[in-house]
Amino acid sequence: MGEGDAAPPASAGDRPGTGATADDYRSRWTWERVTWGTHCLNCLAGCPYRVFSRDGEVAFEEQAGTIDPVASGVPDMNPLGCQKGGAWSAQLSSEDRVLHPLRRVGERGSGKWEQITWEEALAEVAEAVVAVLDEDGPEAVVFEESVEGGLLAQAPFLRLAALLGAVTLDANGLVNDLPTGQHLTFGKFSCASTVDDTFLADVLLLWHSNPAYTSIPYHHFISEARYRGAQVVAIAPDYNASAVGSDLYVPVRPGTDAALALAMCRVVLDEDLWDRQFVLTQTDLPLLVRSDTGRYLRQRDLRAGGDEETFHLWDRAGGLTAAPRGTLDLGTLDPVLEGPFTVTLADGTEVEVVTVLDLLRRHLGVYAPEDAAAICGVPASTIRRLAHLVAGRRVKILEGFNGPKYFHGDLMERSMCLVLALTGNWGRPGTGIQGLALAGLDGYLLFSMKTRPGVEETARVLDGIDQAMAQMRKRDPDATDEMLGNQLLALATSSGTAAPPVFFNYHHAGYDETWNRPEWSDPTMTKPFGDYLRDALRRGWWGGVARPGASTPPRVLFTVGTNPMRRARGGRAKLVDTLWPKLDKVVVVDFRMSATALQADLVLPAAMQYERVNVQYPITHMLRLAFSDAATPPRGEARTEWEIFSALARTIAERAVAVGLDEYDDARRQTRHAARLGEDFDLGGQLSGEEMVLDEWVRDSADAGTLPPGSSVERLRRDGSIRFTGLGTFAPGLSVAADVRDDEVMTAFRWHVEQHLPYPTLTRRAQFYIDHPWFLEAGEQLPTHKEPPRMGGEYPLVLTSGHSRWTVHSIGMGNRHLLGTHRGRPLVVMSEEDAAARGVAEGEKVRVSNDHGAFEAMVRVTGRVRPGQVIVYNGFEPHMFRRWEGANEVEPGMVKWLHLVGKYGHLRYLPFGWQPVPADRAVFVEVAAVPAGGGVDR
Amino acid sequence: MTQQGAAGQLAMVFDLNKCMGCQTCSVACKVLWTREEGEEHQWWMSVNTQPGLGTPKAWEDMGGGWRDDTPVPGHQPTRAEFGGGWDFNYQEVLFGGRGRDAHLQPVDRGDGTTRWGMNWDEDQGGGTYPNSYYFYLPRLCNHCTRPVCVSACPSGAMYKRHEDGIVLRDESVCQGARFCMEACPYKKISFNYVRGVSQHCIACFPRLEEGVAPACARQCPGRLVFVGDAADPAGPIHRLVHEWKVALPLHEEYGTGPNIFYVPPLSPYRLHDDFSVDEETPRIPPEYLESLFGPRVHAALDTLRDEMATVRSGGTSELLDTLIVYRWHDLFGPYTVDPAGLDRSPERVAVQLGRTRAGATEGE
Amino acid sequence: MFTYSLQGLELSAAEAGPIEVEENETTARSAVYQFFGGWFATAPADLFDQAAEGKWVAGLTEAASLLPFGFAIGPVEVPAGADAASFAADHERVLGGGALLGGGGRADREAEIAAVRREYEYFGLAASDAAPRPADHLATELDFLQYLCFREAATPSPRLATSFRRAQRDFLDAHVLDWVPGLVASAGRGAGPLVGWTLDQLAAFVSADRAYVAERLGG
Repeated sequence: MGEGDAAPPASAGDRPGTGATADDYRSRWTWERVTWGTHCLNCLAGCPYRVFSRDGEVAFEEQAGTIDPVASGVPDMNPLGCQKGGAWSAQLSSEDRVLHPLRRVGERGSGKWEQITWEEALAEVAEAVVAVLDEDGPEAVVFEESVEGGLLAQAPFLRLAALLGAVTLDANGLVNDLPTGQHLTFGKFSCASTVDDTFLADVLLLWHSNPAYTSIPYHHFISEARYRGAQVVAIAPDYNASAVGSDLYVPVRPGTDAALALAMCRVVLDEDLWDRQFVLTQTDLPLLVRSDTGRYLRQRDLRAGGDEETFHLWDRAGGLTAAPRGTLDLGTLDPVLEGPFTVTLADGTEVEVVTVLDLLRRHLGVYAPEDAAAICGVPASTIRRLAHLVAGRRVKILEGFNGPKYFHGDLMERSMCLVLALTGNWGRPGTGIQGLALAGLDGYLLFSMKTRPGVEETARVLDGIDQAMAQMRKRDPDATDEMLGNQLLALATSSGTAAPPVFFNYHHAGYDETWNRPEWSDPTMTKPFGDYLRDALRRGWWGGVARPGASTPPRVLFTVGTNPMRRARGGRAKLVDTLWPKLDKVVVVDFRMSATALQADLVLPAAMQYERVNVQYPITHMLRLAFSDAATPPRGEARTEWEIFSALARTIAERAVAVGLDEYDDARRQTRHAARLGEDFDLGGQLSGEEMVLDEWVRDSADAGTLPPGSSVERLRRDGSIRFTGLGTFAPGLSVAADVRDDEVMTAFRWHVEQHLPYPTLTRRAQFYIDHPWFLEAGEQLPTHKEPPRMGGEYPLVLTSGHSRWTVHSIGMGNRHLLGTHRGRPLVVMSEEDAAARGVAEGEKVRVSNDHGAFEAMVRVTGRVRPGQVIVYNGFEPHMFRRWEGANEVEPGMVKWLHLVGKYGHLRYLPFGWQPVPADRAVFVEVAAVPAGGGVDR
Repeated sequence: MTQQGAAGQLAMVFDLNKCMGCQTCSVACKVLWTREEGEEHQWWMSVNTQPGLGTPKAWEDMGGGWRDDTPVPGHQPTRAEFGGGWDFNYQEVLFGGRGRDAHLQPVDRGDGTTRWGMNWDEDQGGGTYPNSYYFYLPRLCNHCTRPVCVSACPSGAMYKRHEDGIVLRDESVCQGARFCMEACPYKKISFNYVRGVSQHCIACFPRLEEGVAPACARQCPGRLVFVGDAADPAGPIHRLVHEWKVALPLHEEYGTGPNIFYVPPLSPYRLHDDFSVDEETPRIPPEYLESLFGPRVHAALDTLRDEMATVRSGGTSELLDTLIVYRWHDLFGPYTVDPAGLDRSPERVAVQLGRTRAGATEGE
Repeated sequence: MFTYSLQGLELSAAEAGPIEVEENETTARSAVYQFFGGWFATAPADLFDQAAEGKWVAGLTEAASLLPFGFAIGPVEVPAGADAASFAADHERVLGGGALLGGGGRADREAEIAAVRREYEYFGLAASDAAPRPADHLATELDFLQYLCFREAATPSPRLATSFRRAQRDFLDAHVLDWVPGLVASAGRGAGPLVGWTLDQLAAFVSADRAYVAERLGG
């Protein structure tokens, strides 16, 4: 026997029941029941699993693998899934699971709990809520919106919030998966084709995305495309896991992707490789801009009473012509793309006008490849190579949500979109820039509008919407259905609960102090951030949604399946030290003791997937409705969100009546009927439970034509996941601008390109020139490169981040199996060069710090990270760090002032859409070794 | 139900150009087979970043295998060299009332296991920026044609199954001598310190017997694991290994005749010092790939590159069409049964095995 | 004018009084479903008397007069020597023993009941306590089709009309068309001409009606 462990124990015969025989293994692969299951959202999937149960417990799961092929010549989607879904069965009994209602008995965050009954818990919540309704009104009751847990986890608290008139902080404003640059360009970011469309690309640019980590279920389409003849280019500061499977790795300095993209555009234009027809019909590049003001030439410039939103072209034959508003089809118009021209204004003066393309060419003067190389670190030869690669080929940019998390991420995305615009690369199979769209489950969108269940009410609501759209269409006959749908949504939003969290964070969570630091922001700002914010509010750009106001501090906070303590940039100083002390009651609904739950007053246990019915978000990446069934009842005293919030509604109503608060007015002067909250919530008992609610959504969707005929929960229970048959008639579906065919991949934006449908932007074209005065002041009217602001201070290393492969946010931190696939503890990743210069050794503890804060973690030293770059992948709970000081201690969470612009065409708030968002990429830090004996990690 | 037909050899091909290191295969195996006591640290299927020390730590230096017909002495990996299997102090941190004085971390049991794990050196790789190089290597028992572990076993617990060539162990016979662990050059045998037996990948034989592909293969979202019989001339395994010669064994020099094959990884262009594209020098040093897959790796990569050039200029390639796997079922040879359609109730299986429900064989 | 009433199903939200709609092809379809629903809900003794008086053919002919598709109505031949008792025995033999429940003997009757109840609920109906009949009884399901056709005829909203039309097709596909052929086959195994007549007419009607509705929906 060789060296190794101690002598072996006595023979197996002495230990009865130890060794397994082959038959023992055969007996383990058994089950009594098979149900459908699916899991968490955040890789944008919805993977159909089969869940195998035995003896009343879930034993294991496995992908179903039963998705029918869609298009011939395109690989099918099977099996989808990933290690996180594959380990969900283990998560049901994780050690961080909460199984009973808990009330804290020590200080917040002390980890001292007592178990209470549901009755006690709900009564305590109701008491706090009713007191606040009475004293401050419902705007002081705040819910964080979330994206975890599927629609049935979201709908109940959103419903209660709507009935109360409370505030729901916009999920996308909190997490920032908001492609601001795509929105600035298209008026939306729903260029979200099905993932099999990736197979059809000739060039895949993995840009601001790490699909090997974050797109596990459908990453195979990238490798398959490569085998089909596509070229895969990975553009990133570090040689990341996605670069491993690429043909070309492009090492770009963090935060300089705009320079790279603009230099590619310069080459494409200079060498006449651009798609002239696409540019003419799809973009604002032919539109005329006044050289004196830098603003578009508008009809009201030319005549009194002229339209504010009619723009102009210069037709080769007819000269100055209004650009058509109702179509992108130019008909017989032949716009001249190069000026200048002279026009006479209403007051008789003559001004020079140029095209946006003229301005763009001028602007690109400083983006010769050699100039850009000095900025972005990509050699000029590579820039030219990339430009030649993308011209004339089907190009798809697989962007994730990394871009918008840079302070100037919008500029980077706009520049990337420009590359696609000049090469005609969206709205055609195998092209585009991947965004995000939730569409198809129209029944879910209808739900909040129905006063009773059933098909008649559905028809009544839809007929009502049709009538409203018809009225609006009379006022603007050139508007597309998407634009009208957006208008309706805006109307609903102005009286709804959704609020961009920027105002809440500024007024109540202490971010004013951070955001007003000019040295951490952009030098082109001419006044402090707070002045811009107040200006925007005063101008009414956020009318109706800047809630709660500055004079209404929040008093009750609910979080349902979301974890702000981990996610919020700004660290303990903001949430724990500034916001939390203002709150009378913090109520967390979750299935695990997350970092936020640790800080709560009450933790209410939620049922997990496999213990309840649910459907995954209807994302167009999949275009499938994935159903999850209840394999077992909820563990312990866990309850579904529907049960929790319907009971809470009743309890609040009882409490309100008991204190004489049958009614109250909200800040919009709408009367709220507290006494009826219970019956209003479940429509007098007609909404008999979450399964019935889900069935209603599904039937309404089938009725609306977005799901196959006869769809129901019963059908889902049998078939698991079904492909949508349409994207729906509401704005989110219309914004994808594509048909669904059962034998084709779904490519977004085809209507714009094939049917010449205008975009929902100010100019009704893909818009690269933003002529808002704030953008002009900032020099960002065109996509441009700007250095990342020195967020965090003057430090030599740049901190970037991203999702890991190991966990969906912090959920996997409770799963032993997932923890075993990495180091099971927070990790800082840095280059060999920077580590050596600092005497930092692999596997040892380091301290990462800047002027905002500091944290400690183990370091991984590797040659794959760019010198000057430090990476911390998110997902680690703060309580996995010493003193609970996690990576967000060094991230100020700066917000870009330009995103406060409103009432400018497409720059206006719609839920989940355009709003200021927190940046955390390219924060500046220093890293130092922690001396041995310092810190407490073992 | 046992597999029909003549004696065969189960084989797999892993296409390393599709592996993204997600560990779905590792977790699939663990959730099915290694959740019992003493199995927490065991990863019968594991994926490591190469170059790297892998699991167990520095296994490639631990010896074992055959040199001609003589076993090569090998090291028995220690518990610390596997690492992992951590317990965490959830109770203390979340419910123990210690507040910020305690934070969640692996519990130190004093056995060195907190300083290594199954995937400790993930994404470290080799080379220096921007010419870092790495790829992912999924490993499991190779169910070798000349299993040195079977020869080394003193108790006769280990055997190679005739019908499909998979190498198994009757753990009720195993004495825990662990000579198999010394002998296996791939170090894919683990030890159960609670039950005193060695354990390793069972090729999911209960699934194979029902026509269901092994869990690692079937659950792989990368669609990169081909499963079949090594000798089936029409199957993709045979064609990739013997016809196109793009699928190669790992460390063939260990002499055990592994039946797991790998399509070696391509890599993006290397970059010059000024970061411009170097079209001449490969990013992954050829000698490194040769050290893993032998000298035939160069021809295999050339074949891949030639075929990819062909399709890029508009031609067709049967090889690449095979590697694309247009229909997921095409990966699994005869193992395309959907487990959800099977009746594997404990009662039925017990009857099938001649057992009572509680597990004892009837008549015992 | 055409009026409708339902036994066994209650309107859960709307008024319970009779509703009047001008007669047309859709009310004709509703009337034919009402005829069949009534037949399967009527006691055999009463049924036989009506047959003997020629009321089956008369009733069906009148109901079907405005049907928008071809529907042949054969003669009802009361065999010599047949009486209520022999008819009742025949009725029981072919249609008794649960043959009219749960889709004609589906394995999971509980699931079928839950499914059809949810259908009724979604379209505004609830099971009636006053005159209960199992939700999955063929008569109840035919009554439901009668109701759906009537609502289609009665609503001013084209959207809602389409919803009801779609529901007819889906309900026929999911809960009726797989059932009726089985009943007809059992009739073929020696049912008398009276039960046989009804089953044949029913089978012909639901098949033709489904084709008509599908065509109106565009497939």
